Amino acid sequence: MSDEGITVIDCGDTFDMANVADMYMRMLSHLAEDDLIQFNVSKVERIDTAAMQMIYAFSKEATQQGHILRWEGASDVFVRTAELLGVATLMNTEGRTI
Amino acid sequence: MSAESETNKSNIGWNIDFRPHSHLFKTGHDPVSLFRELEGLGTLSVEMNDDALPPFYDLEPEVSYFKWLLILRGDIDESDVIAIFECIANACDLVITPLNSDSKTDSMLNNTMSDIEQSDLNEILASPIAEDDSVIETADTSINVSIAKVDSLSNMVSELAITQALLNQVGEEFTTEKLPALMEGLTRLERNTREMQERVMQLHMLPVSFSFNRLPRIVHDMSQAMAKKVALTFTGEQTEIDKNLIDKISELLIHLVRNAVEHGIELPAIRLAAGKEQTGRLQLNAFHQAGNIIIELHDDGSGLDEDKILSKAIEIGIVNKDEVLSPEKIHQLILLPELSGPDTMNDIAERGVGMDIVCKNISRLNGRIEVFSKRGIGTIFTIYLPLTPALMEGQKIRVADENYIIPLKSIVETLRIKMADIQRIAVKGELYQLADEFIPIIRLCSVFNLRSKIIDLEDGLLVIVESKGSKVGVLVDDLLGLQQMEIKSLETHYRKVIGVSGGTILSDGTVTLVLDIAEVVAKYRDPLLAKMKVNNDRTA
Repeated sequence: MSDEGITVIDCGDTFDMANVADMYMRMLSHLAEDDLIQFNVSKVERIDTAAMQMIYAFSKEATQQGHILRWEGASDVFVRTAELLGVATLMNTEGRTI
Repeated sequence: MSAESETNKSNIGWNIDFRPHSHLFKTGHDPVSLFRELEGLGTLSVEMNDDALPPFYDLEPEVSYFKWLLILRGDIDESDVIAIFECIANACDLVITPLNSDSKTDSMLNNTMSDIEQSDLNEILASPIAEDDSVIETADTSINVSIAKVDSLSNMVSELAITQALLNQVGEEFTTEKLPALMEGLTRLERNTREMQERVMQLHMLPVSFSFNRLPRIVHDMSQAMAKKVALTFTGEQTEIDKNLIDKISELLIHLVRNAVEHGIELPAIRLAAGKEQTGRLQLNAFHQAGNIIIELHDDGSGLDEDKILSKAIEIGIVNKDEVLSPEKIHQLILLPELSGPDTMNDIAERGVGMDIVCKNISRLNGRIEVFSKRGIGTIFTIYLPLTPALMEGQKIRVADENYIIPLKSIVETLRIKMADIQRIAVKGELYQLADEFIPIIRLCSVFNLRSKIIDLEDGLLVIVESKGSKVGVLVDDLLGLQQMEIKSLETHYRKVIGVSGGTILSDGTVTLVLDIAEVVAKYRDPLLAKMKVNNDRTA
């Protein structure tokens, strides 16, 4: 979804192995879009390692390409899972921005 | 505690070098669930390594690239760490080393997963399962709650306030004429409190569908890889379950579903030859019943081979050659560690592989699992779980001057003893004839060194309990009623007491100990304690 120069990626309430392939294609297309990419992870109730790995890989790639990433109201489940997998600091979800 | 001992304690623990294989996600297992379980054992530090992660354009979303170096601090048995990773033994490289390797021999503790498989897993898995608070504590600390549930709770609080106002009114200048109004007010208060408790519990609940999400993909991938046709259907996905159970049962269901696809459902040609449809059916049902959530997995596959299971059980000595077992009892054998370990099961009925671990994890959640199968028709696994893992029902009992609680899930039946049904055997002690079987009698007063007034067995009551597949009779002085309880850890405030899983606060404010039946039986069977029992009996 693109709105006034901002690409919003909504991760929904469940983001896991069942939908990583679809989400990958969407994320891939967003890399070619706007400079500002906003992740809506506020509703995430369930997220697994496959999904978190993909978000991590995306955020790494996007940052290298000069995109600005924002985390919109990361849910506790999201932040807690990122912490448990050791990617929270790397993605800077605590600061909610990269 | 001194600063030095604090320092020593922080140095105790394990380094875990965890390198998942690339196909790990496709097995349905999820590292984050394992890390949550590790967190329940001690203090966990996680360092992720992304060296193998390709650029995003080359990423394969279903391939596992991360590696982790985990540091788990605490006084933790290595076997507990190993048990957590056991379910993914074939999908990772794992090296576990002690944090302070100077204190122990490295060669003993440097276990790779292949070493672990060769070690005596049965011994690890057969050890008594203590009440595991970590099951509850590992969950995330917040939850999204629907507005409807919050509104419902607010309404209940309003009703409670009205009831309180009513009781205040009755209490002012109370006379005996106001007694009916007082009784009505108290009845309302009781109803309001019960309903409020139920609604507060509902705040922790999520649809069980969260646990089902990964299954369609797993079934799809496995059936393609194995050239099978499998249709997975669900009913009752909206049935609510405690949030803390969601992740736990996901892993269990993945194991059961994988087993069903791999070993239960036949190849299309075999199904056609057997007069079945080419497509095998897997049906997952969830529903509430009597304070439990029940999850059933039906498959219309080949069913269990009772003859093979029984002959293997006889061969390894867990069933006597002359023993006659019903088909139901034979099916339950696949849940025993002796029959479901990787070494024993491969040559008889692969369907049982890892079932002991499933069984153990369900026990940790205060639940149980049953299996029913018919050769050629299919198999049904039924999981019974409490709606919330912290709450369970128990039977309050009295022994001497002490009260205890026996978890209701352990109790088969309660009966008054007839002396005609008692046999005394020199080595085995007192046995009670229950239908066609003789079960040992455990005098609880002897186990806990209490002076019971019951001398003749006929004066007491026998609570028949089941522990690890076998029945024993626990002799108690009296039954005092059923009790819903929230078990609190004894170790947190005192220390571990063998035979006791924890304590609970009763409605009158008193604290009562909750028995761990498996430990009571083990304590009774310990030769030293058995000798003490004999001495006590002689004294009596």
